[in-house]
Amino acid sequence: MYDGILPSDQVKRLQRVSATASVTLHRKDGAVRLCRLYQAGAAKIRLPKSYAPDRADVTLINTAGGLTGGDVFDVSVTVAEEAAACVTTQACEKMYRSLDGDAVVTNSLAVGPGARLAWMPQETIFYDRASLYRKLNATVDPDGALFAMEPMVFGRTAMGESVERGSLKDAWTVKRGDVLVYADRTYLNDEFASVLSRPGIMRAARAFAAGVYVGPGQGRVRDAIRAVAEPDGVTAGVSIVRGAVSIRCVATDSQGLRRWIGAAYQAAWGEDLPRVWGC
Amino acid sequence: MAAPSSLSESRALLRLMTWMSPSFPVGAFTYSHGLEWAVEQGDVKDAETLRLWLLDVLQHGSGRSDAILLAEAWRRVTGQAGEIGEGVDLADLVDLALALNPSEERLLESESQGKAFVKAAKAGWPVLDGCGEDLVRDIARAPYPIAVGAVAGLSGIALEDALAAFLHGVVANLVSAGVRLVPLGQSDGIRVLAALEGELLSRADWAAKAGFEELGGFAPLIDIASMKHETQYTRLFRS
Repeated sequence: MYDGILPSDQVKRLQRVSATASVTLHRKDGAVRLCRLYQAGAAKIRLPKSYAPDRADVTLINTAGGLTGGDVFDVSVTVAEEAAACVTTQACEKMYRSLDGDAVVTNSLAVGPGARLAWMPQETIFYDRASLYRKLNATVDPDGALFAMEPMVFGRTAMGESVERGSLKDAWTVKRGDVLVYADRTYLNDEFASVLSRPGIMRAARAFAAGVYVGPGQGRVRDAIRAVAEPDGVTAGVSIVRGAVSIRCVATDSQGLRRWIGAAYQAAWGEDLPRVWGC
Repeated sequence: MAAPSSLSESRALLRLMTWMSPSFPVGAFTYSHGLEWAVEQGDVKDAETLRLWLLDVLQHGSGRSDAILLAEAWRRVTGQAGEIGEGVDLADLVDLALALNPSEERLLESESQGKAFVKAAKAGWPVLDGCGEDLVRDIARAPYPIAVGAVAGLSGIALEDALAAFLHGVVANLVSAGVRLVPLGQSDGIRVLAALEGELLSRADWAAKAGFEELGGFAPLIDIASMKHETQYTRLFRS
């Protein structure tokens, strides 16, 4: 009943984000429509007008404006039979310095038969001493298609920021039907600045993206992404692994990374990114 | 399954020397782990840049995650993964390890060497005797680190020794690839290997104690090198 605390009360726990958002899209009367929507805490979902034909644009919003240790943020997206959606974020998610523990982010994606889901958040900005444990669990029907990409930038270069230390755990688990077709486990702890500068890691570049495509025509998708021009300071790779297309990109800054992602998305998926990417 | 009895130290040493020797028929010499692309790009151009590249493989690349996978496989077959009496099950670990490969050629490298390793080990020793049908099937399709971890565990070889030998085998093979690709003199190659000796031991020691939840790494440029290698114009190596 009373949210406030008396000055004499001992603060046991700092206020933290606990957010859940869940959305289901389906096809009804020939069009992609919202079927179910649930949102609690700092997680909000909006469906602005889509300028791409025949898809829903889903925009995720974190009204807390960023995440830090102790925060919990869960998003689940279901695209039912024959529906299509592109999910993105309203802004860059910001991972702030953590005092204690990880910010725990869980993204759960489900793609039905004949359905198409693009998971295309804008870049996460990882600040010095941030601590993120993120999970992406996707289940794609054997007749569905998923294109997912997670860009990340270590500090804002224009602000002269660098990430000296931190903790980053990012676990991807992608299934096609019941079969695990792609997994990725990013694990980087403590030292960041000295590690990111190394030749096999980032060679001092600041921006990075990992992605996956699951669906029909994987050879065509790989070739289309391979043919995307790499702007100055961008190097990217793409390959087919056990029923998924694996994608990596390293760029000196977020601008180059965003340009490459937009072009790769257009080449592989045949659509433009939602307008919020250009805002 | 009863815990395997341990081999005497010198017998374990001989066994590991055989398994990780370049003459053990796993075809290691045909894989460069993307190093061929790094050399073509000029990223690896001498002994020192080769050493730094290999340090990244060991500390943040597949050397890190493969060491954890090897240790987990070893613990499961020796009944030290907690669920003793529940029966040994490697199926989910094999699935995960296969799915973790970031590129077609890295998958080929890990999968082919794993299969060849088990086949060759079986030819020499009764390594899978007494194993259940499911375990034999999973070991037969296991990628390289899991194949080595499982077979070493079943043979009664200590985990730290298996880890050190495996990591040394991987690095020695890449040094040999580097000697041919850069090219480097034999002495330069040996110096790189000598310089990494301490690191190999400390990585083996670390991996034997690390928890399975620490699985993973972060070496995007090594991953990209193996992806770019697929379209490299002239290639000596399969990866």
